[in-house]
Amino acid sequence: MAFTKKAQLELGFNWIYMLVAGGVILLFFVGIVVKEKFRAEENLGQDLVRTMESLFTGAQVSEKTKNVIDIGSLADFTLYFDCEDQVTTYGLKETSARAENIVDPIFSPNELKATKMIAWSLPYNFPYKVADMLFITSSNTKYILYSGITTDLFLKEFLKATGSEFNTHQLNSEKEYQTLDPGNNFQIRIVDFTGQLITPTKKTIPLSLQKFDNTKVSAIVFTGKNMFDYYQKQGNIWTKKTVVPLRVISLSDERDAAKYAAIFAQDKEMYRCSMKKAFARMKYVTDIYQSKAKTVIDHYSQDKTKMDEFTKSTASGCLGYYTENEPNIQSSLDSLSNKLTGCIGDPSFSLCEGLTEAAENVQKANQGLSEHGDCVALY
Amino acid sequence: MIASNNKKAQLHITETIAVLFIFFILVAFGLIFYARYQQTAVQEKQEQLLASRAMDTTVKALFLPELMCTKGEAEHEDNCVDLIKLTAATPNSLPPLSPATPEPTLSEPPIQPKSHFQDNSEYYFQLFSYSNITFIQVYPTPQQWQIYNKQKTKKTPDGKTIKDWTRKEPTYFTITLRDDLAGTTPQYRYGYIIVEAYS
Repeated sequence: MAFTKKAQLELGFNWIYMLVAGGVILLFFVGIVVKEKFRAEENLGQDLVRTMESLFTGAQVSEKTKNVIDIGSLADFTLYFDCEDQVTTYGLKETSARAENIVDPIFSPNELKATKMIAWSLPYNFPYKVADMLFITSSNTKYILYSGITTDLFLKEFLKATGSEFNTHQLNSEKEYQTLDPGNNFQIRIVDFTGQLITPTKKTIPLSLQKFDNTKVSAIVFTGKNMFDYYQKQGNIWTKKTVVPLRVISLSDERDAAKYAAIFAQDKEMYRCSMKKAFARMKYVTDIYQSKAKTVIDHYSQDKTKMDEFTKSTASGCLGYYTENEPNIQSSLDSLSNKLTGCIGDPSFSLCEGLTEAAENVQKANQGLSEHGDCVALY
Repeated sequence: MIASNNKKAQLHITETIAVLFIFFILVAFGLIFYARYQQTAVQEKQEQLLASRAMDTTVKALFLPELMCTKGEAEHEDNCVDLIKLTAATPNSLPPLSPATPEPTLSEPPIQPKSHFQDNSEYYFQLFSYSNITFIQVYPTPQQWQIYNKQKTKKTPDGKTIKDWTRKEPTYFTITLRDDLAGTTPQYRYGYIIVEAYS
């Protein structure tokens, strides 16, 4: 009797002992696997953030070039971009991988889920180079462009500039718009250069686009040469997202980075936020140009008794463009700098729209200097 | 009989304990090996990242709109620094460092010459992080402009500020410096840029 009890005790003890030890060992390995999985995810995110940072750096070097980045390993993840208070946040949705950027103006859809990401940069000259604007999109974000029966010059330039790397399609008629094929794309952006395809009265969404999620179908409608509105799908109709039309803040007609930015930005908020980042940088660049102008003015104002007649006449001619003529470099730069300060602190963005005139004056004065011949140009 | 059974049970427990002891010893060895491997891998990765950051910072400094040589509406000149803009950004140029000059010890924060980038270091930190950027003119006259220098520092218990970095990765790149005020046509000078990234 006593033997049986002892055997039972030994057997029970061994099983419990084995279970505890086995459990501990199992937990140990499970812990390692969980930790490794977490680390792998974190590494993936960090790699992405690093790739993006290199991309921003590279964009400044190889401006005007397009980079197609294979993100096949991230195909299951959703990349997000957001811009608030002049800070762009980007990363992988539902992971800890995220980064912030306060310098580069980045224009992109809010979300990308693709195997290929496309990054393209264009210099923003206003009138001198301020920054490189970075446009980010994906192979499955389709841009459907419409300019009516007349071919818009900008549309022609857009198609040529974006080339085969971008997912674009030009509509030939309004009828084609009603029957358009969105294909197997993640999101659709309609770009209407006529201002007549989508209006507050013509707001029915084509049937083929109605199956898409509301956030994945949007439109930009140019109502004037440099005025535009954003629209977003809401059920079966377009909803206008801008109360008053926005203005493209730029000077150039060719490769107008600010106009491209409007097309690639998800919405009004992203456009304004990233443009403000460009203006914040512009303030620093303008400070340098103001100091440069002062140095050049001092140079032309130096003791004229030591100069020969030709140099004297050149100096006073050049000085005119810097300080006396209308518009002149000094006062135009001062005005631009003051307006920039106002724009950066203005939450409504209306003060930023007044920058164009001041920038135009700097451009005119600099053109005068260049045409004069022997003058030191500002830029 | 009872005594024999007791001995058997004791032997069994001792055996199990010995097996577990060896098992845990092996696991401990594995962990130590893994930790060492991870440590080396992390160190290597950090070195790679530092080298990459140094290169990125050099590229950013070379293509700064604040300093680049522009030509009106045309494309800017590559690897060229506008001397008027450089002197406007860094009014106090320094004599060139001789190779024999010892590196300053950071017992106190270094006194920086006034520079546009240093004055606005909060903004430019996002671009240059912890680094030291110096433009050096070699020809015709040696001269240098330190545009930015931010080192990672920490306070000691006795209130002193000391450096808080262990590695420094220098990167060099040749440049030209365009002087528009030299005469009727711009004069080009020869030099290089040093970017030291701290980690």
